[in-house]
Amino acid sequence: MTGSLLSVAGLSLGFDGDGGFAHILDGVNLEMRPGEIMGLVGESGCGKTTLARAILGVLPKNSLRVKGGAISFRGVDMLSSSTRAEQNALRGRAVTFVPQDPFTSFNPVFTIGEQIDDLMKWKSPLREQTGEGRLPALLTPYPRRRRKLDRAMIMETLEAVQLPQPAQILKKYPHEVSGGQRQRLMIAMALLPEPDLIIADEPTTALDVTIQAQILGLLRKLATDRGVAVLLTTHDLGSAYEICGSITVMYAGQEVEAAPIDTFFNDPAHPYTAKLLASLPDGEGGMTGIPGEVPSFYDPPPGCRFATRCERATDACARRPPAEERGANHLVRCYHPLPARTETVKGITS
Amino acid sequence: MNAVRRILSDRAATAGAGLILLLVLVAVFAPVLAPYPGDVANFHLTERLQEPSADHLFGTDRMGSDLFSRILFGARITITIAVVAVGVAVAIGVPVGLIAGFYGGVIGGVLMRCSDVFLAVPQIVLAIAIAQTLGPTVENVILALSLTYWPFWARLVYAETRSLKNQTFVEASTALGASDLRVMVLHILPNTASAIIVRTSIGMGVTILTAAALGFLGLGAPAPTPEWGRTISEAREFLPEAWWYAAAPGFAIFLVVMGFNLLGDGLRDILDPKTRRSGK
Amino acid sequence: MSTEPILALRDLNCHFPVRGSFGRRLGEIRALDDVTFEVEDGEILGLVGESGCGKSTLGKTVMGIQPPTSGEIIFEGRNVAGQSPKHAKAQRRRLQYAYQDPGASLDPRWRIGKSLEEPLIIHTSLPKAERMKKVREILAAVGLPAAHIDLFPHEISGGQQRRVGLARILMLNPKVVILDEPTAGLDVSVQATVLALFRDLREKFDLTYVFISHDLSVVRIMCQRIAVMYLGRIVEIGTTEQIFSAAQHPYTQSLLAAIPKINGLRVTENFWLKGEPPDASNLPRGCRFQGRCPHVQPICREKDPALKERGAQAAACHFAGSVFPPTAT
Repeated sequence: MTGSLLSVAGLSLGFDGDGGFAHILDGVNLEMRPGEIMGLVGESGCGKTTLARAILGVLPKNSLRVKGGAISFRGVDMLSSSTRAEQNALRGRAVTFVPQDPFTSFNPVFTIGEQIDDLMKWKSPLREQTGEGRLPALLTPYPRRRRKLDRAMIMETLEAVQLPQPAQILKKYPHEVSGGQRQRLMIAMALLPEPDLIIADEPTTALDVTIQAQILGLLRKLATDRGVAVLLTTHDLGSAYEICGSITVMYAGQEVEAAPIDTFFNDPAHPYTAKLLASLPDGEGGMTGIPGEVPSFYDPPPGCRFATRCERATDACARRPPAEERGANHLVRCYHPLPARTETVKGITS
Repeated sequence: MNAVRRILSDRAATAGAGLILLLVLVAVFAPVLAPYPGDVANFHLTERLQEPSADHLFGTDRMGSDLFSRILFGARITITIAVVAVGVAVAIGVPVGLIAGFYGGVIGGVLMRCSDVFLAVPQIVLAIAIAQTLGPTVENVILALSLTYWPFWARLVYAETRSLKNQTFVEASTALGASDLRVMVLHILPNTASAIIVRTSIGMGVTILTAAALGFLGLGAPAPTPEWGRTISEAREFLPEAWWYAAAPGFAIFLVVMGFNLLGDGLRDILDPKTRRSGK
Repeated sequence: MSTEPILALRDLNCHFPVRGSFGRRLGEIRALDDVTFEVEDGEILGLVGESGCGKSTLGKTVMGIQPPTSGEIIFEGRNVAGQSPKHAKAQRRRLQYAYQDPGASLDPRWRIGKSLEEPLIIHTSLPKAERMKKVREILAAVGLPAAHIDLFPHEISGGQQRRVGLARILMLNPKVVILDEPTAGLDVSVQATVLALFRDLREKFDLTYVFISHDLSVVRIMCQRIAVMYLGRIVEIGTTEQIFSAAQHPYTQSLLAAIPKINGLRVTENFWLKGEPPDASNLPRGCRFQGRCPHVQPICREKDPALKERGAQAAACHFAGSVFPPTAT
């Protein structure tokens, strides 16, 4: 599909383990346009992290079994082994990653400056331009001229993420800076290669709420200024509201609904989405929960995996519903979607 | 039986347990199994140093006694030394490590320095010294072994206790008002049990080797006790012609130590509370 | 109806020395600094703050796991400060603590039935039959089947482990339960069920809660009064209504401003609190919020403000009541 930056179509995969085959992702579809900020929302165990890792291509190869589907990023097939070289060129350069845990994401025995330099040595946007040869990794030098230009870019980016005294920070070791600062550094390192897509896996879950507000605001501002798309996985709907333009909801390895943000919060179509919103403390439902438990990945029910907990389920739900278009950019996979709300939709724009 | 089933599920543990079981059976039923039970004390000089044959499975030794029977009886001595020495070492080392790890501070420091001192003493030298002063008997071999071996368990339990002490469930028990003794014995000790058991199994093997070495040096049981190490020592002057004389006890030692090592390795994999089932 | 508060903290201090090489004392971390507040019988008091504010230390100090440096903890009329749980068994029985990670608070090698019996063995001399009867009773009260008695913790789900942890606390008929981050890391749908369970148990067993959390939206619906902590100090305390509608301390105002409001304006667009908390072992002189406060004045750098009361609400700010969150430009 032209104009699409990232296209996941019918992705189905799982892992072989002691208990059998765990079918983690089941027929997942996801589309992202350039510059879009999308939230991948779901509760623990829904497969959002696995999907993010699948796009990045960092799932454990030994136990991984892809059952079907495709991931296409900038037109390159990210799953096939024949395009391995192109995939490696894109990874870390056109698609970068902000991890959840800023504490373990840095190597504790190297300074921050050394680690950023290492990143720029291989993934700087200037590298392609200077046309360096392809020597084995240990022999490849870091040309002085590019190093100076890269340094300037590093300093500029560190200031853009609002880190105080960037030059000092580069000399520090990871344990000498705070969690909030580490996450800013991760964002800086995700931006330095000038990517098209940043995948942020629960980037603020481990942070305090005031720091979270700072980091989220920063991430959105930088992404919109630079035209970088962001795929943000989170289980916190509030964070998703803060920076995303659209949201895709996942349940037990299946995507169930994708909608622009106002529609998502005010006119959800899928029963799971509605129940999720009703569970919020500020929600209208008065904080109801969802009875039952998430099905096991080793023995998932056929068809729609939410059917076992859904009041609207019928026998038809034993086959996975196809994606139906409900409105502008609003897709839902359900045979019994909720009726549309007719009252005016409140939101950011009003 | 749950425990038996779990041991059988691991190949190393099964092999090891099998060998140990064999050792125990041999030791217990030696009088019945041995073709020449009297040869523990008797000698028949006319039959000395005969090759292995149908009559004498492992041949005969320098006194003409059947080597096979003597090896079987030697198993008793081996087990006694191993079990008592390791038993005493565990009985001293585990409480020391537990108390030192739990209380830390001065008590912990003193106890651990004590264990350092005993650890620094070479086993063989101490055994020789004890043999010189108190006499070369099996009991003194056991004494020497346990005195130098208990620090291994003390250090192991000390390290485990220190890390377990900070675990949430220990803190939760303390918050409920549990006394120190209760926490140490009922909560921390069971959680160190698997590490202790693994170490003990391997420790048995090492102890047998050391006891054999001491026997080889002439410390420990006097002649004509059929102790395996002593038998190898006797065989020295007759090598390489009477190869069976050293090979038989050597092979016995090898089997037993191998058995304990395998069992220890297998137990390490099995003993994890996360794989324990409630056995219903 | 004058009621003595069931739990009262007076000038509670908990300082940890920071040592350099050779054990030289470099400074101290004032994890709790003159903490004073009261908890009424039957209420749910929320204790809110971010990481490093001392709320966990507070929970552990009240429980006696962590000895305080000075101050009083008055529970049911008796001062239990500095007395570890094994020494003050009788006094402390009715004051219990629910861990953030309920699975970790159970001994992995003990069957659940045995873990539940433990409090009774430590505190009472009931015979086995009576103990098991009580175990079954409490299991039913938290909604778990009696079959769980023979299971190990790793054989039940996280949610069930949580209930077992609570059951263990309830074995002794406590009066006050300190809940340490009970909803941290929980999915939204599970959170709702857990909070309903807490409400249910409170009614059944007539409990008083100290609800420690960093999540203000949860605190809002569960608690009647809220105390806000920052770097070891209580900086504001008041009823839920007062805190949410008219917070007086700038830090409280920043916490409220940071909460995303779905279907409202995006809070991160103009979030005004900059910077991070200072190093806990090296606090500046004067108010500890001075480095980040938008209203800082010279006096803030000189004098550390005490809690100033205005009716039922109190705030530790020189300008309490007259400072408001900066509006978006």
